[in-house]
Amino acid sequence: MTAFGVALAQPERRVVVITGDGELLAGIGSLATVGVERPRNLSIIVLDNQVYGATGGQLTHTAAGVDLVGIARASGIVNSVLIRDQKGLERALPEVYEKPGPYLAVVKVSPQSAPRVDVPKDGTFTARRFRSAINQEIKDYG
Amino acid sequence: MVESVSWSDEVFRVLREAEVKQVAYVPDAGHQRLIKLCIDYNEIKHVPLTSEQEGIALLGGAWLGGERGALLMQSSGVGNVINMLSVPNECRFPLLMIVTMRGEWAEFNPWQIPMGQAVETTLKAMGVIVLRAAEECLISETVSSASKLAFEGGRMVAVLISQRALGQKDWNK
Repeated sequence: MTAFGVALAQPERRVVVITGDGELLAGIGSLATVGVERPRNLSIIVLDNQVYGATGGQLTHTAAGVDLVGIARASGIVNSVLIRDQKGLERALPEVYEKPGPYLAVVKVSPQSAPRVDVPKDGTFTARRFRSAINQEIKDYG
Repeated sequence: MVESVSWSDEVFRVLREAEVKQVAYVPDAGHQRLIKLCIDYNEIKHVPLTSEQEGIALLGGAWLGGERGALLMQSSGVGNVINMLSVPNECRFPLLMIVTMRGEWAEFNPWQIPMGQAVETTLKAMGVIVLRAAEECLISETVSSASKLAFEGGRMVAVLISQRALGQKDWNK
């Protein structure tokens, strides 16, 4: 939904959000909300490892067959695809930028954790860094 | 909804003056006219939500993208946003919420009372500044004050429009 707000505010830019299966399942209604407005500049990439990696690898609903692509299509996100391998990923990557949005790609990935990358945890810092990077003219809260 | 025409029009003017460009809402009887005014106005993007928590994330995105937004909801929806308020709290996103109250003044529906009574406490527990408009004549100036606190003060602010100000109506009509 945050990316949707950015997409509405920046209609001339393509906005790409990368999320996970657990997170999307927790806010599944957002697909229906995106399906109402159908922003042409929004792409959603779901890295679906079918587990809650941060909490010990418990299975998410997608492991039992809950179909995120089906839910997205039925919600009005017509350009929704399932990617199962490297070849499919290479085919889909240009679509993320070129297909009319809303576009959604569910990418099935390994449940193995990648090496940890340290990122800034300070939300005020990362939010303002992002905001000033895409809005050169904005200097304050305005 | 004739009773709510005047405050809704005034709040609509306040939102336009504050340069609000995105209005998110879950349909609500008290906000009926304000929602319609926003839908009919081309310069405000209106986003109907499945749950109020989506609005918190959406408006965070609006701010990141350089626009201002407002979230319209009923008191029962406040319970749906509590956890999501962690995001504007930690990121210091400005947030303007306008809440029509149920479960307080002359409430006839017992199911509205638990959340209605808990609204102010739970919002404050999450760090939201709460401004209450107890009478109809105070609604627009309270929203105006809240928008300054939110957008210029960089804070999360909720305006609670008292059930008394909305009038004792038969909500089943």
